[in-house]
Parts: sequence; structure tokens; C-alpha cells
Amino acid sequence: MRAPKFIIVGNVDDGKSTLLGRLMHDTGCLFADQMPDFIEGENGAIDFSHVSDGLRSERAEGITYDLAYKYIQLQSENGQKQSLVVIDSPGHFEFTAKMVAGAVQADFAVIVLDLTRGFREQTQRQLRLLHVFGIQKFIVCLNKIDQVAGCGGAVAPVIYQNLIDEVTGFMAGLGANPPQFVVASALRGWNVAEATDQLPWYKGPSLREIIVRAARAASDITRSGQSRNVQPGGDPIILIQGEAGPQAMSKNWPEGARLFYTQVLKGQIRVGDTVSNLMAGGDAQNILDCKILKIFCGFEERNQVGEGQAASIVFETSEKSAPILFKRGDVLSTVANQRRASTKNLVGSLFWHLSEPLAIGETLVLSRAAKEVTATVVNIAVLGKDRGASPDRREIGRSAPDRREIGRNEIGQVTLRLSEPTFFAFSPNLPELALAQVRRLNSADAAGVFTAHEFQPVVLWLTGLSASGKTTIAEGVARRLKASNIEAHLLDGDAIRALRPQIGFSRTDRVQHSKYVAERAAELEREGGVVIVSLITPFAESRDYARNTCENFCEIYLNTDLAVCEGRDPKGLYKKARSGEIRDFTGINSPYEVPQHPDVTIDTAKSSVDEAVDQVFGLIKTLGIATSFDREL
Amino acid sequence: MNTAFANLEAESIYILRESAAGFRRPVILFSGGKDSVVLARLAEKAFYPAQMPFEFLMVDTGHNFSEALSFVERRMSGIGRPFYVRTVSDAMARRGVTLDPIASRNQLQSHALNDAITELNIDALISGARRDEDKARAKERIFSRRQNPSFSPAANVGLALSSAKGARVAAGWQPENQEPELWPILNSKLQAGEHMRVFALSNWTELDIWNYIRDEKLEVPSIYFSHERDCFKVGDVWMAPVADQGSAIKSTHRVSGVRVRTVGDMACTALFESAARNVDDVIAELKTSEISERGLRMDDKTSRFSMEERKREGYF
Ligand SMILES: Nc1nc2c(ncn2[C@@H]2O[C@H](COP(=O)(O)OP(=O)(O)OP(=O)(O)O)[C@@H](O)[C@H]2O)c(=O)[nH]1
Ligand SMILES: [Mg+2]
Repeated sequence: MRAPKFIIVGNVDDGKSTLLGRLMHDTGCLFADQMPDFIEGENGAIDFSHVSDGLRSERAEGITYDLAYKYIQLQSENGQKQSLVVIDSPGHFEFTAKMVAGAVQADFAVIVLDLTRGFREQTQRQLRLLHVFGIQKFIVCLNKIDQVAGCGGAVAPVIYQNLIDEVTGFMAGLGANPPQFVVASALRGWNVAEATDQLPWYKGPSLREIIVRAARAASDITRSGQSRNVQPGGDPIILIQGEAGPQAMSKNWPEGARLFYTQVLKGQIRVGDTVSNLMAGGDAQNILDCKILKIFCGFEERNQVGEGQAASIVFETSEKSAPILFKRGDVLSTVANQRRASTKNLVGSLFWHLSEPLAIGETLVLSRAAKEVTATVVNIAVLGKDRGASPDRREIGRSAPDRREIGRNEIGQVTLRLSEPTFFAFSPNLPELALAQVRRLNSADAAGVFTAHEFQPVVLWLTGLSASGKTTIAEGVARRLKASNIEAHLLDGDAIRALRPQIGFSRTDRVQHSKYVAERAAELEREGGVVIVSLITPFAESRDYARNTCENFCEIYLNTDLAVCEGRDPKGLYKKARSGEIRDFTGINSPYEVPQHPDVTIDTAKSSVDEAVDQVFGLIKTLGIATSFDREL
Repeated sequence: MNTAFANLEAESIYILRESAAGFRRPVILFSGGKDSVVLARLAEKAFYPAQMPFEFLMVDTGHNFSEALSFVERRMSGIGRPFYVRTVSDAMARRGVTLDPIASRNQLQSHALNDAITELNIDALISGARRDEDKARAKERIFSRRQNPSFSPAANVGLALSSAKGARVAAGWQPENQEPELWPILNSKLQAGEHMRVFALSNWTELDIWNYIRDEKLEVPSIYFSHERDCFKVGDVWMAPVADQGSAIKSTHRVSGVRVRTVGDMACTALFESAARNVDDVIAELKTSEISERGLRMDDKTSRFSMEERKREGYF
């Protein structure tokens, strides 16, 4: 099992490196032969920052330039040793990108804050970035308490409490988990390895104890966020890293068998499982289902392989002639019908670290694990720092964002148009598929970090008779999305008709009207929206048009019986149609062409609104539009 | 956020496969030391049942422990992949330099390494150097871009024989200019005239390495275990005389139980007294050791920043 990792962040000079050196010193992680290297000046005092500031330039300047990785063991209460990897990060604004690179690897973060200087902008920036890039456990160490005059007395606890309130409020604004606090002096070693008696007003544990507990918690859950005590469940996710050449094939394997190098990122797979390629895009013809013939882990042949393991897998396909089975970077799962998991429209947060800002219309190269794809920036929204915490997708297309370009060390929300459908995951526990390094096209320099949002652009198209429940369900879906901070666009037939009074109910008018709605929906989808259309759409040609116009299109058919709809008749329209007062009324005196291959069929006579909404969310999940594979929707 | 892989083995296999996919001619540096032993095993596993696409390279300083050399020969003869040995003496002869028979050649290894990069047209060199070993290595990327060495005898010799303070030789590490690496995304892009240094065991500790050696029952050179040897004392550590040192050493003693912690050039690798006869003993000893892993490496003691300086010259 691997050791949990944590990162130390904080503003420049707040004492991160000193704290780490002190922690290692006081817990016996340093060796006698190394000590002379840490001694600075004539009086032979140890400079604890030297432990991780190992470069000549760092020592000369007294600041950390780059990440340092330290491998330590800390004693827990029960006397056991907890192995940990510590990443010391540079605090200076210049090096924010390096801090982000460290943060994406970490299980939790220790934030060092000099309480004589207060809660500065750089620390706030760092916290925002930690939150966006998936850190969930925050330990705030209020450092340099030795510099507060009379720190054992009455004033210090007030300063301490005020800072706790300030930081807690800030984190709440981000929507992040509330941090845990400890007060310490890295220089003097108070509350670092052991609790101090210098601060009688502080009753909490030492930083070491807090870290050990956080490490325990981190190693009790698997990387996909499940408890280690239960069997990994859910849909497996497998990343293809490469393929062995044909000379690697054993003669005993059937014709068409191919050996691939994979990583099981989530769940479990077995010999005999059928997998499909989540990268195949919207075109159902491209999908080849493959069977798992053999699994190798190292030199061992196995019947199954679990999460976090590297496996070499022999796949067999019925289509022996297929020239390419999988490409490097493809993502497989055993879930049937995940045929639209990959998308060309992608929404997420982007951290930018070049001095020349990122603008709409630019072309970027995104690298995620084993895969590179180019992307055009379709939309950008950056919120000012006084406008709440993180850029939040509920703002897109709503109140205008403060800026439409992302400056140096800023984070913004972007909508990207990819050159090919690519599978991205939302889950911070699948960093291989959730993160991408960003470069400008034709530049070798790293420029930013992208992370996909949980919900990706989609058009959910509800079709069915009048009073079949389209609007009710559309609103139910929108409500539930809102709980995940997603503001969906509702395009309701009646509401749009109200804006276009010239449109009638003849076949030509209906076709023309649904065409208009489809184009509007596609436009919103391209901008990064989740669009819910509730429109009778009685004609197959209209629905086909919409399917072809939108990228990620889901046809949701409400097959509620005519009799049931007529019985509901909330607007009295059926009555009017029966009496001949209204002509061209669908189901009465105008046809409804029943969808032949809807993505989901819902009978609202048999299911409650909640159950119907569940069904829609089930669809969203299997189609990979909610890129989270871990969280229950 | 949880880090990518369930264990270190899967993580290293991921790195090795990314190296295989990302480079034209990836070569593993094999010294016969414990880290390269683990690295070779992981490379075999990563591609099993197919064969790994890597070749192997060893730089022979001419001062290697004979036990290490014979081990390397044995291990490499069974690996089924091309294995190249390049020597420091050849590299220095090309530069018209006669070697001091006794002085440490550790630092000169970089020249042999750089020459091999040019000669074999290598675009990625994979090693088992770990972040845990040293304060400069603690700052390394997993994929670390380097300038290709340009062979210029005169210039290189000058630097090699100077103390090289602040001097830059091509192929050097420039820790100030490293771009952020967004693990687990490994950027294999090279500019013209660059090659990659790959650190596939970055996150392993010395203890992890020994535990793996035990679990996988891997063979390591016998000098890692307590043995008898003729040594001479330097300060409070033992050194083994290099083969052609001859009469230069006046008084060697037969020491009954010594071993090494790292396998390096004999002229810079000290031995220490130990009773550890097998892997379990080594692990037990390690858990209570008061000396750091490289605490017995004389090449690290030439200055406070000796590793950083050597890395700047192209050392791993
Ligand atoms: N009085 C006092 N000084 C401290 C304490 N902790 C750190 N310092 C001093 O603060 C200065 C900066 O410490 P560092 O540990 O280098 O700060 P850092 O946060 O690592 O800085 P960067 O890595 O450059 O961002 C040094 O002079 C330390 O001695 C403390 O608890 N009390
Ligand atoms: Mg520092």
C-alpha cells in the first residue's frame, strides 16, 4: 500500500520549510550525519528550513524555489509508525504553478499561516486552488505564535480565534470543507511534534497528531473514495497505456487476440467480462465490444484484477479484421450503452500560469494521462475575488462574469471544443482522467491546468403528448441539477411559442418550430450548457434533426397513455380538441409518431416525478455526461 | 485528492510504460545497485508476457567492486535485451586525459554517460535514482528534460577536472528552470537537442526497495551483506583499495564483517561494520540506523551541494 501524501502550502516566509524541518527533527526523521548540513552561522544553530531547501540558490535566497519531496515516518498514539510523503511547496506568487502541481498529488494539505501577518491574498489564492483541484482535508497551522508578545496570556487566544473565524468564513464561501486548526511555533517546536505547555490556553492536539489522524483517514479509503473494507463496486474504468506488438502474441491465443498494457483506475474486472470503449464517441457503429481473455499482473496470470493495479490484458474481439482495437489513452468500461461518454464539448476550471492571458478563441493542447487532444476556447468566465469564492458554473450565461480572459495565476471557468471526442472524468479520485496539462498550440511550455466539471454539456430532449409530464419532469431534473450547482437551461415548448406567436400547429409550422428549438439548444450546449427541452415534438423528422444538430443528445420519451393525458387535461386543451374548438391537436386530430429508439422511456402514469427524475439521472450517468463515476447522483 | 496508484509497483510500471510509449530509444541505466535491480524487475513485469522495449547501459568507472561487476554480467545475460558497457577510461582517453589510477572517477562518469547518449542516440535514460536519497534529488521531476551533450573534448575536460563550482556542462540539470510536472501526466515532449531523464522509482524509499527485494526474492550483489575484506581506514570508515592501487596503500586490515549501503565507485563508497548477512537482517538494521543512506558516500562530501553540482554536469 502506498503512503499518504500531504502538501505544505502557505504564503512566502510564513514558515513552511521551517515547520517541515522542525517536524522531521523532533520526530527523529533526520540522521546524525546530515545535521552539519543544516547548521547555519557561527553559533551552530540549526536552520530547519535547510532540511527541504536543498538547492544552493534556495539557501542563498532563503526561499523555496521548487517542490521538495520528503519521506517520513510519524509515531501515532498506539505506537505504530505511519509512513507519509510530504511535499514542501514554494509560497511565492511566482511559483504558484508548482504549488498546484504538488497539490494535485496530495491526499490532504497543511496550510501554514504566519499569524502576525494575517490571512493574505496569496494564501487565499492557494486555498481556492486546493479546493478546485480536489483537496478535501485542510489543516491550518497558525505559525509564529512565539512572536506574539505574551503569547501564553490573554491576547494570543483572541488573535487565534479571529483568524480561525476569518479562514473558516473564507472556506465556507468556497464551498470547501471546514479546516482544522492548530497554533504552533515552527522555530521553537511548540505544538509541532508534541503539545506545548507554553500556550496553556490551547487545548488541542499537536500538528503531528493531527497529521497522523488525517493520514489514517486517507489510507482507509481507496483512491476512488470507497472504504477499503468493502469490495470495490461500481463500474470499472480501465486506461489503455499501450499495445504489445504482434510478436508478443502467444500461438495458443485465438486469432484476433491482442495484448494491451492497462491501468485499472477504478473497480474490478474479470476474465470473461465484455468491455466497450468510452472514447468511441457518439457514433454507435464505431463501437467494438471486446472480451477479456487473459489478465496478467506482473508475471502472474489472474482471473480478476482490482483498482489501482497495472495489468496486461489480452482482449478478444469477434471482428478479427479490426485494424485497431484500442488506441493509447482510450478508456474502457464494462458498462453497456456508454456510447456517448466522450464528448467534444467540455466544461471545467482552468488555472492559467503564463503572463500573457488566455483569451476566447485560442487553441490549446490538453494532455491528460496517455492522451493529447487540441481544443478551442469557446467561452471563458472569470469572477472577481470579491464575487464569492470559486468560479462557479452557475454563473455562466447568467450574470455577466467580471472578465472573459484568464490572467496569470488565476482560475477561470472555460468551455472547450475538442478536436475529437475524448473521455474526461470529474472525480478528483481519478486524476488520470480528471486533470489535463494545458499548453498553447505550437508551444512547448506548460501554461495551465484543466479539470473537468461534474456535469458536461448535454441536450435532454423530452418528447411526448400534451400533459404527459414533460414540463414537470424537466423542472424536476433542473431542480436536482441545481443542488449540484448546475443551472440548466429550460427550453419549454409553450414558453417559446409565447415568444413566437406567428407559429401555428400545422405540420410545417411544428417542424419549423422544433427546428428552431433544436438550433437554440445546440447553441447553448456549445457554450457549455446543460439544456432541457420539453416539447411535444410529434414528428420523427424533427427529433432526427435535433439529434443531428446537438452534440450530446438524449431522447427521453414520455409514453404516458393518451387516456391518462386526456384525463389530466390541466389546460382543458383535450376537451377543446375533442369538441373541435382546437384543430391539429397531437393525439386527437394530429399524429404523434412514436419514437423507435429513445434513450429512455418513462411512463408517468406508473412512476412518480421523483422516480422519473431518477431515470433521467440514470441516463445522464450511463452516458457519461455526469463525469463522476463515484458519487451517487 | 488521492494519488494515482494503489502501490509503488503500479506507479513505477505506469512510468515505465509511459517511457516506452513516449520515446524512440529508451535505455535503462543499470549499475547493479539495489535500485537498478528493482528497476530491471519492474521493467520485466510492466510488459509481461511481452518483452520490454528497453535496452540497458552501464557506466564502468574501472573502480567497481568485482562482486558488483560479476553480478551485473549475470543479471544482464539473462535479460534478453541489448546491454552496453561504456567506460570512464575510454571517455577520458577521447578527451586526451590520463586517469589517476586512484582518484575517484565518480564525477567523471557523467562524461561516459554523455558520450553514450550521443553515440547510441538515446532520447530517454531511465534510472532508479530516488528522491529520498538526497536533498537535490528530492527536487527532481519524474520526467526531467536535459540538453543533449555536445561533444567538445577540450571544453569538457576543463570542466571535469575543475571543481566545477557553478560550471555548466551540457546535459546538465537546471533546477531553476524545471516546468511544473502535473503527475500523473508525464510530458514526453522534447525540443530539438534534448533528451529525457526518467526517475521511475522517485517515490520509493530505501526501506521500500529492500522490502521489495525481499518480497520478490531478488538477487543483489553480495557486497550488500556482511563479508570479510581487506580494508584501510579513512577517518572512521573503511575503504576498499581499488584494484590497481597496489603499494600505495601501506596498511590494509582484514576486517571480518563489513558491507556497503550503496554500490558505487570503490574510491568513494565506504564500507561499514555490520553483521547483516541477509535481506531480513539488512531491513532490521535499516530500521534502527542512525546514518543516512548516502552518509558513507565520499562523493557527497566534497561540498554541501555536491550532488546538485554533479547533476548539473549530467550525473543522474
Ligand atoms: N519567530 C518565528 N520565526 C519563524 C517561525 N517559523 C519560521 N520562521 C522564520 O520565518 C522565515 C521564513 O521561513 P521559511 O520556513 O523559509 O518560510 P517558507 O514558508 O518555507 O517560505 P517559502 O518556501 O519561500 O515560501 C525564516 O526566517 C524562519 O526562521 C516561527 O515559528 N517563529
Ligand atoms: Mg519554504
